[in-house]
Amino acid sequence: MADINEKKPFKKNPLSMQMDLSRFTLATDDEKQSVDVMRPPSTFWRDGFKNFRKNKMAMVSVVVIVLIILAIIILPSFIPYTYSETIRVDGQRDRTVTNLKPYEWSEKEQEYIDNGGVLFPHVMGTDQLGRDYFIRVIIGTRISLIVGFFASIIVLVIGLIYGSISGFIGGKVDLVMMRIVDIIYSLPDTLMIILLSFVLKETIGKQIQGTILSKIGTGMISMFIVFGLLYWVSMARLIRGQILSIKENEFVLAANAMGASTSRTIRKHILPNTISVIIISTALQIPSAIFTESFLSFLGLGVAVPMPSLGSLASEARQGLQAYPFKLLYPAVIISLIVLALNLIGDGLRDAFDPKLRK
Amino acid sequence: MWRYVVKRVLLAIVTVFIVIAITFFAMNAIPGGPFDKEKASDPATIKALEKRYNLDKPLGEQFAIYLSRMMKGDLGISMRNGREISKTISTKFKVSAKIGGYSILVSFAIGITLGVIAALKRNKLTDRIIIFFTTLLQSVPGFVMATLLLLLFAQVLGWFHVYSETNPSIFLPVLSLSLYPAAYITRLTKSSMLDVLADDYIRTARAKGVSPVKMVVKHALRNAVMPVVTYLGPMVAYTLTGSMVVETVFVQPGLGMEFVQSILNRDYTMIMGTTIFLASLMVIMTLVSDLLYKMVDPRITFD
Amino acid sequence: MAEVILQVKDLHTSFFTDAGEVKAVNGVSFNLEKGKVLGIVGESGSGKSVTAYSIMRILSFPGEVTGGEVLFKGIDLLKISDKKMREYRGDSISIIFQDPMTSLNPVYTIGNQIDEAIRLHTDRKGEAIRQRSIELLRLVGINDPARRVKQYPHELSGGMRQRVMIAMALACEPDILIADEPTTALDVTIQAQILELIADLQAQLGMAVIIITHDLGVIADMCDEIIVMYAGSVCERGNTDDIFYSPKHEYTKNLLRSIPKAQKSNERLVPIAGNPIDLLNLPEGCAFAPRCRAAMKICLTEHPEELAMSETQSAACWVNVRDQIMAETEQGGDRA
Repeated sequence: MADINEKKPFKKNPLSMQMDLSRFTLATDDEKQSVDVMRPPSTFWRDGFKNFRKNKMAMVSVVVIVLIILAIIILPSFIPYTYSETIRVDGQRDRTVTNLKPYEWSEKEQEYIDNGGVLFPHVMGTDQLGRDYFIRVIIGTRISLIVGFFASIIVLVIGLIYGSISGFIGGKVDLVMMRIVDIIYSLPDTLMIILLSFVLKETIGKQIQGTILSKIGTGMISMFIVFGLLYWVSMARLIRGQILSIKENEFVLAANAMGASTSRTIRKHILPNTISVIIISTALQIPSAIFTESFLSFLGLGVAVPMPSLGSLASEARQGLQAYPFKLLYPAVIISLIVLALNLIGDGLRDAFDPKLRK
Repeated sequence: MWRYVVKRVLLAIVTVFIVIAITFFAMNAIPGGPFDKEKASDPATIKALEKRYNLDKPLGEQFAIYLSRMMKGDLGISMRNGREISKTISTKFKVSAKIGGYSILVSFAIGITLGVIAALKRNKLTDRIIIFFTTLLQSVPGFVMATLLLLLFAQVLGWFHVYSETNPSIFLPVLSLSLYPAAYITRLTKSSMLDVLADDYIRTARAKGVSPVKMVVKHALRNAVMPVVTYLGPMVAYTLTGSMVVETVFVQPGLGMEFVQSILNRDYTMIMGTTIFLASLMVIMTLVSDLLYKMVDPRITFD
Repeated sequence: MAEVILQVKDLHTSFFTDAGEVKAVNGVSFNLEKGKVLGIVGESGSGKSVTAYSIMRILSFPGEVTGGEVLFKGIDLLKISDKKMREYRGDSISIIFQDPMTSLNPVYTIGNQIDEAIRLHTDRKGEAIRQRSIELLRLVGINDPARRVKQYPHELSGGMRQRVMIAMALACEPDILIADEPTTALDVTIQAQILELIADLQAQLGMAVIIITHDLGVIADMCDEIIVMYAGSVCERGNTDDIFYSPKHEYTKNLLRSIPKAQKSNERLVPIAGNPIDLLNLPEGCAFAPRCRAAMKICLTEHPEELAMSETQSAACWVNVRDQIMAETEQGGDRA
């Protein structure tokens, strides 16, 4: 016990320690509380959003997405061209208006301007059929985003319903429903989409000619159908897992004497977790849907001509790639930007709301 | 353990069967029959052709016949050029397999290496650079990547020999096919490695006096790489579907391009045969990778 | 006899997290004599395990030792190179951890893992290494060691795995064995066995042992000296009798009150009131004051010094100072 000798010997005269004897009175509870500083209490949501805001990449991505959405809503009103019309100058067909570089004018257009006419510039040039490329890119972006969004909603709704039913009812029904999920999960989705879009095009293609559906294209329709048939399974599993944990908690707490906390636990802990899981899953589903749609369009199985999609634009750009590389770059950059931003937002959400990472 | 294996194999068989069924009945739902566009015009010839292809029999029976022929390896003949489908598939698949095989190897090699590096240099510059590139690569769609690479190498760099019609080199196809999986594997490995490095037995190894290098290579690596094996299945699926784009862009005579062509040409039998082949391949590879993972992990936890 | 082989002087360790600096160890000092058993007791977050990891320099990111000395046979372990430290680890100082399941590498046989310890620090080669491993397994009471040595960790029970950990730690006959919560993850029946094993081995091999635990009952019989820690500081130290029968720190007294005693089964368990300490925001005064029923105003503002109560015991608590003052003023009053 060598170091005991290093301690101050206690038998010093305490009065010489010059202590204020009043300090030795008992401390009140209030005084203790004021010293016992705890971190400010925070709800799940407040914590999560605070974390998310700290993530610079995610915040930038949110801004980017908002800007893009605003652009595609507002800009077309300013552009006098439509995505499907071949450009006419002064009411006449212009053969030279094809494959223009950005801000270039065709011969006829140049003439028109020289004679005092005013034309809206072709910000991204024109394509090989003489259509303004900028408006096509914008509309293409619209299509891609809308498709991505709606596909995710379909997945969410179906998955939510299926998973909830399976989880709530439980027992044999749950078992069977999950077996079905297992099988669907093993099906190779992309192949099925390609197959089905092809079949649909052949079967109902003629019937819907001229209707609004034909404008969207059988590729799109079949994509929605296949998403509705195949892609909801992960979401269903997630939801079911959450429902099961709710049921488990109810059971455990009911067996406990503290019955009143049941709903509180669900509300405070499980529900936020469930909702955040759903949000994150959906957020990450959108870029995946956009990927699939553009993949199909690239192969010619997506949107129907002349409706543009970022995928089909990229595919069309392959011809004449050496001469006009920008026709590939515009849709390529935009689609990559959108997917990147959405991925970063999804990752950011996941990191922000992950309870394991909270300190 | 065997219960699990049996369960998984059964699931795979059922899935393949369903795929075949869906493909078959979907294709046959197309109205007008396969000979609509044929030049043969008089009804007698059409009748004869229908008989030849068993199209006059009820659908269920046709399915059974198709299945039995398939078991023997006969997938019928292509409507476009009359060649035996199974032969076409095997020839074309050799090309796809070569490209796909190389790209899988490349992806794993790059992915695991970068993933380990990123984990070890966590939060430092190297890690941030790696994260940046992997996020980027995962956001660029495959076809964009392929076309951009084409632009870059053939146009900008002028390396035309990688893009020639007579003897196409597989460098570009392999590269563009391997980038996305490599990025995914990098992230997967890094995250797995970080988990492992935080595990208690690494602390034990350190407490024994094991050097940092050995800690990573001997103790951590084996544990970290195991989850990456599960990615093999999805990766094969990605490679097969990706080959459609890559072979189209780089003009490689593989099965992917054949598939796309047959769709554009409405070659029904070819579409059917190829879909079934590819789908079955994907399901089998997923099965193999699941089983492989369970066998590699000595803890063998089955539920 | 009183040969001090380990001297920890005013050790400070912090974790530099995103949320701030977590001060896990704040000025801990103790001496360990050759062949003696030291017990470190405290609740979770008291800094007892972190102290051990600091000594062995196996702190995980973002932990760092921020001050103090750790003298092993005169050499400050905190100042030597990483390479030199590796020579000490597993050889002169060994540590076993709380959860033997996760502390053993699942993909290698236990033989492989024990062999490694031997190979790293001794000159043995080839078959001699495996022989030694088998010998060690026998030493820690594992039957049929020749067969067991080829098994994987998941094939053994919890108790056996902990024995394997001990075998691995003793492979090179260390001077000091640190046991960090060695029984917490085990069944109650196995706990006693493992503790007995450690005590036996200690007597047999004559090594010094540091036992870290939150359970006073575990160390009641084994220790020559006990240190009670709270919030990274030493509250009190003494031998077993001192701590159990005349505790001089409020926290220790609370700890003792909260042990379920088998005899008085109708007595209520008295949990310690208040919230566990937040190491990010340590108060200026005594860390335990907010939860202490005897807390005085001075406790909230001044950190108590550790003062000797007897030859064997010392405590850092203002209550003792007050008692002494009151005793002295009474005497002084009488004298005046």
